[in-house]
Amino acid sequence: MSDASGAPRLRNRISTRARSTITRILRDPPPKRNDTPLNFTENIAATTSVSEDLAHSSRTNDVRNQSRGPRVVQDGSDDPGSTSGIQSWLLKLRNVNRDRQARSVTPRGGFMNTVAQGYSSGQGKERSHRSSVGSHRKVLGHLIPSGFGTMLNSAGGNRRDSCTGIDIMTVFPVEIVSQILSYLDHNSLLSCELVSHSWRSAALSSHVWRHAFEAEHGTWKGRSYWRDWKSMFEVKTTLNKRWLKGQVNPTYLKGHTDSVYCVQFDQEKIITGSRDRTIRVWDIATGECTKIIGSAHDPNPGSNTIGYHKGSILCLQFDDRILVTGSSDHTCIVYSLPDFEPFLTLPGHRMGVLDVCFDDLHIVSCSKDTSVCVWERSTGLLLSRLRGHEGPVNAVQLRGNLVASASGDARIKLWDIESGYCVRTFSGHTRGLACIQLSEDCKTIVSGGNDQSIRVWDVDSGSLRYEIRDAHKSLVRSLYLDSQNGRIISGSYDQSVRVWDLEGGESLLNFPRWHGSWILAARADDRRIVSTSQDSQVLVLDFSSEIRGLGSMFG
Amino acid sequence: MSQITLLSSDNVEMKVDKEVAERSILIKNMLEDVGETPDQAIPIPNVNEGVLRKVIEWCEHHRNDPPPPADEDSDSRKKSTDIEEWDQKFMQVDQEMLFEIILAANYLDIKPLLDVGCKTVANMIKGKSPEEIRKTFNIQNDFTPEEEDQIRRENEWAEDR
Repeated sequence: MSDASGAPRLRNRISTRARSTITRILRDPPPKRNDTPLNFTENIAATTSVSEDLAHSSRTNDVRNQSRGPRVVQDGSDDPGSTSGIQSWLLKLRNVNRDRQARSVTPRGGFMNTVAQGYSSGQGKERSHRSSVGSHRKVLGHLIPSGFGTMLNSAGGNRRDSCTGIDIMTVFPVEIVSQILSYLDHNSLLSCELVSHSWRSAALSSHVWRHAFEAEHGTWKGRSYWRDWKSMFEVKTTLNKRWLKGQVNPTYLKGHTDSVYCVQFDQEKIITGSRDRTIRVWDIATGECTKIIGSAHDPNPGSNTIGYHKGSILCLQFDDRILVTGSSDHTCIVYSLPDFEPFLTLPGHRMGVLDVCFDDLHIVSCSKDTSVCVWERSTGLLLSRLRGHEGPVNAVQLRGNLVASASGDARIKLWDIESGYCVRTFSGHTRGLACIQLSEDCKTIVSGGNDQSIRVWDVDSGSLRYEIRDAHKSLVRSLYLDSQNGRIISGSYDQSVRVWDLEGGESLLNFPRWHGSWILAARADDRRIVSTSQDSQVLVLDFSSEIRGLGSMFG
Repeated sequence: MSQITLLSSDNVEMKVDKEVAERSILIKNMLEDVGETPDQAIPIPNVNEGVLRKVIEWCEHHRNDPPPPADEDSDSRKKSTDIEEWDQKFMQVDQEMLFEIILAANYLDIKPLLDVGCKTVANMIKGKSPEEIRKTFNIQNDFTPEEEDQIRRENEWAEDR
């Protein structure tokens, strides 16, 4: 099956020169060449009848192949030529054993087939892993005994030549070419494209570009099949250049009537929460506000039994299924997506809910009341309350079993969500903390606050990795850690949004005074920074506008 | 130490320690299926004497290596083109032999040797201009100037600007 598609493709890629060589070899096979399995079978043909049949069929195949010339690569996928030597060797061995042991042979037809197939295409487990491997092994198997194995000799002429004149891109099976090229970086691949037609088609392989992409930009977390990895590489390269230069296309989203405290976005939408007690959903492509959630905007107020927040929306998080908001009215509300129907309230805090986050099992909220609450996501049941901070808990993040919290008491605490114990306290900030991020691998904490510094902590040792002193000229209000791209995004009351290199804390970008007032939240992904401000506006800084092939990466 | 005999494509017999020959997964599986040490020579129809001797030399040197990681795409295997010193020296052969070794390693299913071979070729390509690659591998440039321009335009994004 795989032969039918694999073989002709390989054949088409064989250069004219190689083709004529093959044709010559096939037309005039060396009469005394002893490397074909045929010779071996002939030797033993006299001793066993089974082998005789095999030898006969092999011979028939051989003749047919010779008369057809290069078309041999298409022939009989049911007859793995490369293995017939081993196959007949096995036959012989078995027959000898049979004679020696003087007992009847158990039915072996199936056995032989299994053995032959097994050897022809390598390990069975491999085949499922690399779909093309089986077919190309098989192709190679056909090629070598039919003359390909000696082709290198013939074409190379003098064995001492350092240049063989053999085009590896046409002679090697695709899987080997692919392996060779997968060791190369993108610049080398682009060089390969300009070598010749055969090299270009090999170097354009998406498989090869996937390796280059992931070696350069880290493991791709999204869907990996059916992608144009070269185009993705191009998009990513262009994006990186724009991030280096700060080349953005800004859009302001207007609609909120008071401070916008919180934001999250994905490839389709931006969701913001405001002091105007509404949650707004924006189309990220057009910038249009597509939905407003709040009592004043409900056309059918009777149907909503949960109700709306009676205070500012201070924090929010969403995934594919739910949106959770926290409010100065002391509660959280959980909405189902995509219809934004509220279906749970989480009462339990005695003061405003300042930050919220969740995973598949838990929702974690923190409050001005100095506690952190852990809720069961599916039922809204209060599972535990984490106490220990001596000031309002301004920010919280949940990763796996760990909850990191940052408080006005200037301390960071790390909690085990199951036991509810505080497993570590990080001290060092000199004033109250406003924001915290825990990296996806739970190895790094980034924190910021009133002392205007950003600190990066090593979670395992509990020690400070580095400090960005005077990161801002005022309170660091918001931090976002983009581990994949190694960037920290910070937003401050000094009205600037800044980008830092996670590795060493170097300043990468600064967007001063793009907002008219305090920055309250800022987040980023591969292609955008979205920030919100007390000036009631949402700012989208788009690094990706009009990049060719953008859909290859974000489609 | 039990030994087996391999028979090259040009009908030369070579005695090899079974353990060494079993670096080839093809041979290893075959011997496992047979279940005993065979007394006939095992034909290796696609590999001639010179290449087979080289391959055996490599297997001898690496006879005690731990098995390669099962994960095909394991990072260590794919990312680095580092080659240990002995292997580097081993691969200092003419291109034809290098290609033959790669094909033999593929056929005999000796992954670590195939890796070393592929890395060696990759290192011959790495960092070179198209013209340098053509020289290295003696490849004819079969592009028209127009085609070359077209490809260069297509790949302009990669230039440092």
